[in-house]
Amino acid sequence: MLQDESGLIARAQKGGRDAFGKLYDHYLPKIYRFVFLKVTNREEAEDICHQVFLSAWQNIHSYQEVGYPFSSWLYRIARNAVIDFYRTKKQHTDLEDVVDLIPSDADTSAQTEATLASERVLRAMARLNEDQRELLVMRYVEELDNKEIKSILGKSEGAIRILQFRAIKNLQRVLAEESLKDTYI
Amino acid sequence: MKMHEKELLEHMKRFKRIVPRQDFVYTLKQELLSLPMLTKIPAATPRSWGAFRLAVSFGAAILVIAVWVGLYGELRHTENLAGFNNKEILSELASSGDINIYINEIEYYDEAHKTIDVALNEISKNQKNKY
Repeated sequence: MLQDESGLIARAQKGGRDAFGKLYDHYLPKIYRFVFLKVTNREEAEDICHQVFLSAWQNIHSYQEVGYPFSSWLYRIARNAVIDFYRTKKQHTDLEDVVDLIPSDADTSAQTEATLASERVLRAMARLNEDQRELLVMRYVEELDNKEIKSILGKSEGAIRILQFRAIKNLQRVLAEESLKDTYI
Repeated sequence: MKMHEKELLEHMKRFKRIVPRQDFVYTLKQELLSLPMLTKIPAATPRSWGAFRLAVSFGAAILVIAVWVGLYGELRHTENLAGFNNKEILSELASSGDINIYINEIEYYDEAHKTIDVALNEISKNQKNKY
């Protein structure tokens, strides 16, 4: 959460552009990453983020902190925007884009190995169902806690824990299968 | 090769390095902040219901009064239905003398009634005196 987030939201609701600008600066990278890992295409992720923040700016007056934080509200808008995107457009799955965007710290063989492993994880994630992939991104990439994930997904914390467990197990299974395929090719 | 959970989580954390393009970030921000925010439409609150009901009642009362006034005016000024013109009928009766006959009949029977009463009284007095 951003420092003095409630104050910024209140000022933005009264039309404070600077206040909304600060919220935008803080949350755009997170929302972009969340969307990007779902649609795996840079241009489409940018289009969706454009819709998300336009909607947020125009509807911020309707936001009320009643049990869920501002970030959850944004993630819900983003989630709905991605669902709408899937309805209107064929999903463009190009994992090359994603892997190229993961910068390495240094050009060493260890980093190259790490990047290749990340690529394998990403490909495996693409084979999971939407709910499991989304949960993994929220929990392990964005590091949201289960309470926040609950307010975004509208599921109970128990259901989220089960989904999380299954997602990890499935991811490991898919990685093992991919690894076996690589061995026998 | 089985990737352990811890290793998996480490790889997923690397995805945090994915960031949007700087020119996209800047352009979108400029565009958003140049747009006006939609003004809030005040929602109906419980406090406003009383005023709403009062307004509706007042409006209904005005409507009823207007209808009554309109009807009253119509009744006063409207010409009678064709074929049912009381003024014409009365004036016709007056001119034909029928109404005078009618009035005379009423007076006659009224007088006759009084005469009969007087006669009956006389009879009863005479009978009392006799006995």
